[in-house]
Amino acid sequence: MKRNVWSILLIFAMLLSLAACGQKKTTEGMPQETQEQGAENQEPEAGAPAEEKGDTLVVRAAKDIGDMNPHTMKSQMFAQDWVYESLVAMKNGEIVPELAERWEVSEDGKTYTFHLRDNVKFSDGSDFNSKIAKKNIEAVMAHADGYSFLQSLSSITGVETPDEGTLVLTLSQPCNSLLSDFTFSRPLVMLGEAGFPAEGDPYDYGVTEPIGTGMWVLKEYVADQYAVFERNENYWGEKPAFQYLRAVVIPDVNTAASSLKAGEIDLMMDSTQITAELYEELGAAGFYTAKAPTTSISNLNINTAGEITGDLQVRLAMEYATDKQAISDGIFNGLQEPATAYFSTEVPYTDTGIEPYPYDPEKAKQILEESGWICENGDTIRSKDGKRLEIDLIYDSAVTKDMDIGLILQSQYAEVGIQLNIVPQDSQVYRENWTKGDFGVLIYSSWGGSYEPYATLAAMAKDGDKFNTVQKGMSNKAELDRVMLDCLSQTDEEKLAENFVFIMQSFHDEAVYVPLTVTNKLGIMRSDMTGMDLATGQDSMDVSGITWAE
Amino acid sequence: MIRYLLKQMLGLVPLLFLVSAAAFFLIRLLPVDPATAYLNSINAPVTEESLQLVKEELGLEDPVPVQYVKWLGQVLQGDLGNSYQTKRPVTEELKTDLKYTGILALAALVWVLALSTVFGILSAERANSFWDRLIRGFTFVGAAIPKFWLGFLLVYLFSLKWGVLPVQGATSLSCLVLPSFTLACSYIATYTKLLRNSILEMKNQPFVTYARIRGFTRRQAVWRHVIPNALLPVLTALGLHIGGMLSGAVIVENVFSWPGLGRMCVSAVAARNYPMIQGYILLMAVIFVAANLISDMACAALNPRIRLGGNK
Repeated sequence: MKRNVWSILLIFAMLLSLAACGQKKTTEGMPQETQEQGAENQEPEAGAPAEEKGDTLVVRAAKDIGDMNPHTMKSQMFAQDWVYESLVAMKNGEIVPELAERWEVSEDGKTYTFHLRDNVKFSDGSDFNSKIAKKNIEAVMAHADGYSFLQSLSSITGVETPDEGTLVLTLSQPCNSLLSDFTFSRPLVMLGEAGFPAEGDPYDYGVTEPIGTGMWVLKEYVADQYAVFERNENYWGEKPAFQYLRAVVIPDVNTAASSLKAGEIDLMMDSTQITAELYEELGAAGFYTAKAPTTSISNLNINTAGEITGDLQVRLAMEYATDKQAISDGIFNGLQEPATAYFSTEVPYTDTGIEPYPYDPEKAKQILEESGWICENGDTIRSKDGKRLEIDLIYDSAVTKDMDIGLILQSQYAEVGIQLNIVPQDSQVYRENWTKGDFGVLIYSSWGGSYEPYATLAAMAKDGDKFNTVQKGMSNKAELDRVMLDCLSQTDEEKLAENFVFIMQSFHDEAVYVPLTVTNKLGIMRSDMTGMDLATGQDSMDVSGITWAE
Repeated sequence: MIRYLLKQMLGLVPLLFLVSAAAFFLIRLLPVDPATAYLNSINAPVTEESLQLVKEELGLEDPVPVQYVKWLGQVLQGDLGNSYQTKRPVTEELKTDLKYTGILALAALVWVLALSTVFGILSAERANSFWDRLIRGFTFVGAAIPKFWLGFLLVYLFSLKWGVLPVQGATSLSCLVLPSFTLACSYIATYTKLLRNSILEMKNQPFVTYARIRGFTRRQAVWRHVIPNALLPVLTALGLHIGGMLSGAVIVENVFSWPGLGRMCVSAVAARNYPMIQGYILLMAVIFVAANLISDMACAALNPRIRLGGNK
């Protein structure tokens, strides 16, 4: 009988070793350099980065990179940025040339002429020219319904290619967002001819191969584990210093920090997950740390059509009762500065100089008092006409920092007699309730990047969109919608600026949003590397300039 | 034994049928339908037309019972449908994830069997000694310690302080050590305690006394009679727990960046990816039943008095 017990154990041990053999296969077929990196990963030098200065840069990816289809929204933007390029790009909030060297816009704003860069090749060696650019743009236009944030798609009426190096877009009406639409990581980016499916568009049938003009070429991919990119030797610009780029999927940010300490990864950067504590702890441990403000603002959205929040006086009181500095200090250790308006001051036209509401709880109490919200029968929460001043705050339970913000707001509002009920919700439920207007207040970070301001304005003006729901109860909503839509195609600079003053003043006067903090992009890197650049949008990961320090 | 096996397998058919129906209809009670979730995930506007389009594409326009019959027909042909997100067959997706979770659970099982038998026997044989107290202390801590905390503690010690094991990944055998032990820890504690109590109980049974009278030494009596009998409840419990190990690895998978069913299931639920959730539930049902069957057979192998299926 003793033998029976041991034989069972033995069988399990054998099964395990068999499984382990199957396991090892995943590293086979990897380039030599990455295999060395893999070996280095197995036995890391704890604390101190490995001595050897290899040819592979290892970065953390919070999620799997996806199918690398440039025309759909299912891949990680940073990975799409590595492989694909568009006509223009966005850097520090400015539109800069990429595959188009320069461009001209006709007087009436209805014709855009792009002069394409010469001698650009795709990673498979094929030429980039106006023909393939047209093919990509038309493939995207065929599925315009799938990209509601791209205002230009409904305006483009013709794509012409007078010669190999020139691309002309004709529009039915001027479109102010056209250039910024081409700065998104997808879908208006260029896929090589060989990447297109035999039939139909990549949108429906996927890509045969992720062929782009970008700095990196996808070399190896193991779903949910890692992806290895190789330097694109055909790249037209300055090539990156590393030959390989390995993105390791590490969903948990604390695990990523441990991996960084153990030397398994070289860097991590993002704008949502790295906490102030981790940032400071790793900085103190000798890692290189950097931060850059993004154009995404964490805002408290107040439901202007809500049962209680429909009362402008309540909304105004909440504006005065919010101590942004306390949120900035308490949750972000001061890393995220208090915000002044719904849009970042970096977003074109939106820095109108309107003074934000100061933190003044006494003023908040006074406003509530004067509008009939009073504390009765010893209750510390105010009420009016038998209704208690109770407001539901919903947030996406996947975003843990929003819960912390909610807790701080709860105590701040309690001081002036408002009860905030914090209701965490599953991402899908949160979105649905937001769209339906089934909430009092909610926390959301504005889109930032290429979305601002036009894609956001379009969403706000669109009936049925969640961005529109929040504003439904504004006294001037109809006029506001008209002005927001006018911004999309207004070519008169002066008129455009006037429009934005009207929009920002409306947001302010109607107390729709309580701007909380400016989202930062944080980067942490091993100390013997240099060249981290955080200037690109919050979802991208620009690693092109990173090298070993001298 | 074979008859028993066949009978159990036949019993699986109505059970899986029930599970499939429950899985299919219950997940449709989740708030937010998959068409909306799908549109949200690609940042597309949720309008009547776009919803209709997506519903047609995902095959959601039929009434739910019709959808169920269609799906069941596919399942009987071994086709679990396609994932809404990746458009790949669910069977393919599950296969990859099951492989990794399976490896993790198997390794955890080795830890459990190896350590809990050693600890359990040692603890019972040296009852109330220093070792017994130490092991009993471990069983308290091991059962109570949260998995994510233990995971980070182990990473701190073995990866950061001593640098002997990797923090995360699934690219080598050494990557398996920490996650599998983390997953196994609470089970080791449970089984150690179970085995200890079971051995102590068996020791007072008349058949042990009789064995001693027949001339067996104490050691022989323990190894031949006490331990095999004491292992029975452990094996039965294991049969129940293997499914739990496979389905409950989500925290461990997250802490150690181990790809697997747990992570897949959480994202499938978040995206309302019905075919993936249904496939996952069916797969788990099969695993639970199979694990029970195996543990029944292992019990019969250890104790000839257990006649599976009562055949004469």
